[in-house]
Amino acid sequence: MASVITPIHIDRPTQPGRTSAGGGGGPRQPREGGGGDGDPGGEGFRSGERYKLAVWLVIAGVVMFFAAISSAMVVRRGTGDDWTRVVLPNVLWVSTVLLVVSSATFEFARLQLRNGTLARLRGWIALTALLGAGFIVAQYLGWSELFEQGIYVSSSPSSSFFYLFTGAHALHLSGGMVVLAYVTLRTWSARPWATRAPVIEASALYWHFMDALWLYLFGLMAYLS
Amino acid sequence: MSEVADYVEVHRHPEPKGFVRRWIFSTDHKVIGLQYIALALVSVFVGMFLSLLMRIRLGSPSKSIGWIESMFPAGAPDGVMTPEFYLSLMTMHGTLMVFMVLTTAPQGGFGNYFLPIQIGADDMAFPRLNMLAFWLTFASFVVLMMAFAVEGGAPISGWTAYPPLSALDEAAIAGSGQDLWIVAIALFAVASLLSALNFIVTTLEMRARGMTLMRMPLTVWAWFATAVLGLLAFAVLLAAGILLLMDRNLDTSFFIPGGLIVNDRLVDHKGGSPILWQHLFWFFGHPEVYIAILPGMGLISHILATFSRKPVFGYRAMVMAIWAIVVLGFIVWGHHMFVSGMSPYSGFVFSVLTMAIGVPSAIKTFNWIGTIWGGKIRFHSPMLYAIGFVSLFVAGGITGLTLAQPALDLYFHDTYFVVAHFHLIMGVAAIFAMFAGLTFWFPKMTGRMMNETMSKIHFWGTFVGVYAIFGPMHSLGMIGHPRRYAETTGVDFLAAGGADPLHGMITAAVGLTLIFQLLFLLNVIGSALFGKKAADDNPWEATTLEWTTASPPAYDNFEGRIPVVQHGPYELGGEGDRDFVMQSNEPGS
Repeated sequence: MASVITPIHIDRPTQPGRTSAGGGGGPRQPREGGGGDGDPGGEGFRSGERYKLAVWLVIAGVVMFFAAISSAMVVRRGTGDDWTRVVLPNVLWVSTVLLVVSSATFEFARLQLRNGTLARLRGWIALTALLGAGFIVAQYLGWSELFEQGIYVSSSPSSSFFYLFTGAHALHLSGGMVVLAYVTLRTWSARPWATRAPVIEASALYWHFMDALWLYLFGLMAYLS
Repeated sequence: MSEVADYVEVHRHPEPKGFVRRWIFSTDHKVIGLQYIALALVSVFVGMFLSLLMRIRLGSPSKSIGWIESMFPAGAPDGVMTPEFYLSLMTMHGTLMVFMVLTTAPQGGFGNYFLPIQIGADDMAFPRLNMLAFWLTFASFVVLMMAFAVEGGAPISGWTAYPPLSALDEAAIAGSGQDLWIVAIALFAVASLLSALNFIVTTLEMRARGMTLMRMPLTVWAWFATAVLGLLAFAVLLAAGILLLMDRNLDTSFFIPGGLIVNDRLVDHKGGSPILWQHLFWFFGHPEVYIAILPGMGLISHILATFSRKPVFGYRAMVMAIWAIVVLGFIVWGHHMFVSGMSPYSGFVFSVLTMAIGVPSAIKTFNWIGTIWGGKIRFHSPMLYAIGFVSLFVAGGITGLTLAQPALDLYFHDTYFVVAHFHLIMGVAAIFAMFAGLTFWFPKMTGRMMNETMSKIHFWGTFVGVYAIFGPMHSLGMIGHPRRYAETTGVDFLAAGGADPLHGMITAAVGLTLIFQLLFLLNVIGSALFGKKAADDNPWEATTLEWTTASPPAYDNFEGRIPVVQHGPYELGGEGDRDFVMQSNEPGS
């Protein structure tokens, strides 16, 4: 099993390690064998790619969460004779526009990522977060409009689902805003900000998903309630 | 002449200083793994104690027992446990065992400790997220245990929390026990989601060079698949839990039907569907069964190969069987609901899909036998536990085929037959995998061997013990003995069917089996402190990467290196003194 080891020292191994004469290491190349599925294996360290993959997995989990409640809504509509129509507050259209626009401003932020203009990047991200905050305020206005009509969580099954959907979505969006605040703060840090780029790319993915999720929920509630 | 480096040197992260950063709020996957294992150990003994109380209640329904009264003055006034208290014992036993033991130890415990090392990484992809997931799990455990202390006591609706029992205080017990249960489960679901995400990203992104997917040990495949199950299933449980919490506290009616009369009073809810809860719960609940057992299956494949000195038979088929189980596991939840009044057509579909799971399960069992067939078997304790697992998995799986038939399930569903079935396959089999994992990896985690004699005594005592407990329950089920009942005194057909001696035998077996578990605990603690030092870093002559590290491994696992993987996971059975090839060349060899 003896093998002469001549490793090279690199901080971030982006190049394949230097070769050495392998003794008992066997004649096989590391990228072959083991079924030869052509998968090169990983790199064994944290790359920026992990953030985007993590967000895709978060999206999978959140989709399951809202799919479960959506299916509950469809079932619940059919089980009782107590389903009453809730007229969705008009201010939800305003919040919808705000959120769609915020997706666009996030895209402008990503453009700056490529151009490398740090100040403008901050500006677009801040504007995105501001629009997100505006969305949540508008959602709250929608809630108070219903409160004034005396429609609460337990008033009817459709109002229960309305408050649950809007509340859960707002909570998920707030999580996205915390990440935006973190990203903005980190642009002032001494570390090269390009290393934060994968985080910004990943949060953009999450933000667009939040946008799409809201459009879906809005449509579902408009259709069913 | 190979053109391959043995490893790549990388920047070493310094080990954190201070007890708290090192052992309490640690981001080291190995410490977090040990924390999960410790949590599971505490939970399993609490859970076993609860089952002992249940057996005492079943064995002597009217006997007054002083120490139980002093422990639970409200649950056992005059020393006799109330039927409600029996149900709360049952609920908490099930919840603790399913969530805090079967879900934490195989995945959060062993998976955390060994997945990064087995793929050649220095830690999980998101170490801080990993720490957060453990502490959320711990918070969940604390909230769950608080249910014993509040007014009204622990919930009585079972680990499945069916409404209206779980949704209405007047239908069960007044108090916040059920609310605490839901909050605990919600916290656990969030923790499991974070953990699952971390496992998936780590497996896909952090593998060392040369660690192709088809070179991953089957343990890694199983943890990876389990994480996929957890990510998709726990999100649904979280949603269901929130709906139930709203029904209890915000007067909504998701699960509470109209026209319901409890204690001669019309309940002020309408229109909800208790069946809706069952669908949401079991959409999580069935994948949960595989969350509990898949890591064990991976580990058993691993151990059977290592101790038979043979490669895993049909590695590729094993990987495909794992994924077949994942996919089928998501579309069979209805077999838990055959008696809910579902359409016979749906029942038929769920029945066929359920029996289809027998195919990948049989592939796995066949390949396990193929793996040890003709091998040079070494009967060390991990191997004994692994063989025990296969036995229990088959014994519990066979009755799964029985229960998958709606016509038979109608009779068996609410009897001890089901108790026997799921304890053997999900409970005891998975626990045997944990015994196997602990004895197998103990030298790596501590640098010491567990006492082999004590392990073997424990194996035989437990192996015979669990069959003595759960074997007779099949007979109880066949004579129609209902489950969940605190007492069946004076029920003629049960007495005539011979239920009393069967119950007596089960209670005696529980007592004996418990003693063997104390022996195991003693072995774990004693061996960790005073055990024989492992001869070297690879005492079992295993092939995977964790056996190339020090015992216990350094803070960054490979001491400033990332191994380069040159071999498949199970290259065992060669000629000569050294009959195996490790996945990467050991440093210094």
